Amino acid sequence: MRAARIIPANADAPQATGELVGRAMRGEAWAKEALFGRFVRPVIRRLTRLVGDPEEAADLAQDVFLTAFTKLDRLQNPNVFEAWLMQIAVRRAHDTLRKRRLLRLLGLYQPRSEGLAAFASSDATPEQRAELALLARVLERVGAADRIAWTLRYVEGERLEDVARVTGCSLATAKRRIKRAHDIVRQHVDVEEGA
Amino acid sequence: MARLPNPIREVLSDDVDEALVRRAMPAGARVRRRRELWVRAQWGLAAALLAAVLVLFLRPDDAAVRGDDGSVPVAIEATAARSAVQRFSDGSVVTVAPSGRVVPLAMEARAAVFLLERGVATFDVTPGGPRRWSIECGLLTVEVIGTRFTIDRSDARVVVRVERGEVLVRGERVHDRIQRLGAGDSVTVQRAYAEHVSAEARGSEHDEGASTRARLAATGDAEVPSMTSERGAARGSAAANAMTSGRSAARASDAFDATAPAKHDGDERRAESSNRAFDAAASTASDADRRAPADERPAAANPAFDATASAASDAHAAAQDVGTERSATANRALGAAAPTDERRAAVNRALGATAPADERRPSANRALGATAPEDERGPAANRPLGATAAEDERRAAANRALDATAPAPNDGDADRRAPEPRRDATPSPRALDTTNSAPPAAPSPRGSDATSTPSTPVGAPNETHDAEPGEAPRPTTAPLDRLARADAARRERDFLGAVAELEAVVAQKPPHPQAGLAAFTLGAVELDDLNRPRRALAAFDQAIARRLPALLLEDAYARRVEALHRLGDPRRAKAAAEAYFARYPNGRRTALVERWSRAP
Repeated sequence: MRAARIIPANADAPQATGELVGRAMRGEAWAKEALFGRFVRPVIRRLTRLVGDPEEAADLAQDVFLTAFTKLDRLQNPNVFEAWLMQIAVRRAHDTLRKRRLLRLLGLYQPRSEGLAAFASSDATPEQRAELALLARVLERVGAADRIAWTLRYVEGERLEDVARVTGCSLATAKRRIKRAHDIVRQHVDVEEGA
Repeated sequence: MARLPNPIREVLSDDVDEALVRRAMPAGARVRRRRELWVRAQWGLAAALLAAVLVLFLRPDDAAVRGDDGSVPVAIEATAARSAVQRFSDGSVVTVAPSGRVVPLAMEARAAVFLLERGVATFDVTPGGPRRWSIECGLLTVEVIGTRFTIDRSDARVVVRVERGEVLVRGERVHDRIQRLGAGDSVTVQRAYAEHVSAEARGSEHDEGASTRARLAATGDAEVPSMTSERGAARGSAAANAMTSGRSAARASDAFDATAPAKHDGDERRAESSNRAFDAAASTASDADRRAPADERPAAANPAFDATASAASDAHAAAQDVGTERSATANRALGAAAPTDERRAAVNRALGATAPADERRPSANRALGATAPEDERGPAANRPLGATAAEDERRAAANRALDATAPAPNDGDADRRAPEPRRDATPSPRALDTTNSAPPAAPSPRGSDATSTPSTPVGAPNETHDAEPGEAPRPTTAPLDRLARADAARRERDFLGAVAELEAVVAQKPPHPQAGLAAFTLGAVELDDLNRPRRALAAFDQAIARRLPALLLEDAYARRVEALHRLGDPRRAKAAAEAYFARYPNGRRTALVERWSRAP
């Protein structure tokens, strides 16, 4: 089996994202590979934090890129490719969380990882790791849309406007979702406010 | 409790495992997606199967058959001039002939029920449908899934003819209450207790089927069609000829005896066959009695059946007795079944009605008399071909049972009358007369002139029985009357008189359909009773030239050999025997024919 060729993300790549998207839209395969190499890690990282399972995040990332390359011609502004890609990723994560919630109700879902605790950095204290594990369990009890909004706001540190844009809702809705999830989380986990 | 920073990603690693990156590559997606597609396909297949099962078992009622316009027709009625055609949503077509009327009684998903009120209707039912079609016809019910058949309903009878597929015919008057009809089969159920099944399209009938048809035919209509299977034809036609119109168990016994398969040669087998035939005939009559509603019997031939069936065994026992006691026993045995004058007339009328042209009874009598001479001929030397002493005894008993169906004249209400000794103290089988209502004529001396006054025939046409009181019945020259008179004459041992009547039938122009049987009977009388082999030979030749049932045709060929043997012409006898063997390599008369052809 031919070894996969991985193009490393390189911000200093000679082509800008817009140009790569343009070439990919014209059917140039190398441009798609370049885009994949440039954005696959941020997508996997975000998806991992959203769904809490790195392997499932990798599969979702694959679907995200397949969808993106299939519907690339719908992208009117090549320069917003990354935001558009993240929107697709958030939508996939939302679908996954909803499906997982249904499976959990049916007793058919068992978490395969420790959630965010598995991605704790080497700088994190054991207490923080324990809090991350607890947070993962608490987030399982939060609705998909609320969880995504809260994760984008409190884990990723996105601005409220960006949360609303990525999740495809109004700012007020984004705030409401974040608050609803946060009311649950803070009953169990202490998270700093006002970042 | 440790406080998590905001954003929490500050305590999370940004590293992404390269394995995850490879896993996320679209190049590997094809395999994974193919696997997912396969899983989805399996789920889809399972869902499709489930849906199919649900559709199959939970078919809604609105799948019921409808007319081509989407509604259920109230009735399918044809005018006197034009037929009516109704097409249904499942492709089935009902065609009603002029003046016919079919009423749909129920049109459901699993069943479609029609009533054929009158006339002729053809049902072309699309096969493979989920519903069973039932057509009520009064006397019977026809059930079908996919076929084409025609039902003809009239006041007198119902006829079902199957053109394609198979149908089930149910009814109280259907043999065994149910019959399966295949393509080419038909069943006729008479309101006056008759039915028969023809198997014109079934050339290779096995024995059981032929036997069944013979029994069916024996219970009613004499219009037994020719069967392509020789064996089936022989058995069916002989039995039908013998047992039509409520014929006696004795004659039925003879018929079945005569229809024994050719391979059952030899006396033991023949005797066994005779026993079985006797039982079958009695059983048939008994079944007929059981199936027929009592109030319809006077209009049909049932009394004859009743009498013969119930009396057969008793009469057989009575035959062992002697003197007047025997007659009395037979009378008692038959007393319940002995018809009154009125019933007797009804019997005769029924015979006339159920036997078109009144042909069956005389012809059956002749056939039986010819092939199986009754014991009234006396000596065992006159025993029919291949008959045994046991057969003679059974036949005699059965004949007495037949004779007892008609009591002595003026016996009035025989049902309530106490048994009384017969006027004729001599326990001769002839002492018990047949269904004739007139007093038996005085026996003519043997060899009397052929123009002697004929006795009143058995089963004579209606004009004789319907004559006004005090008016002497006038003998007619109709062939059937002549045949009946010939039968009566033979019973009275007036063989010359019988010969005269039979010769008149044989000589009739144009040839009567029963001329072949008459010629055969003539030959038997000439050979057995009058010992005139030359005239017998000529009669058998005439019988062969005319149309004869296959069974009797074999006997005719065999008896030609006998006639030539008794004529003292061994050369021609041998030639005739070779002709017989060529035509019937495994014939029933092989042993006798060989003997006749060898002996000087």
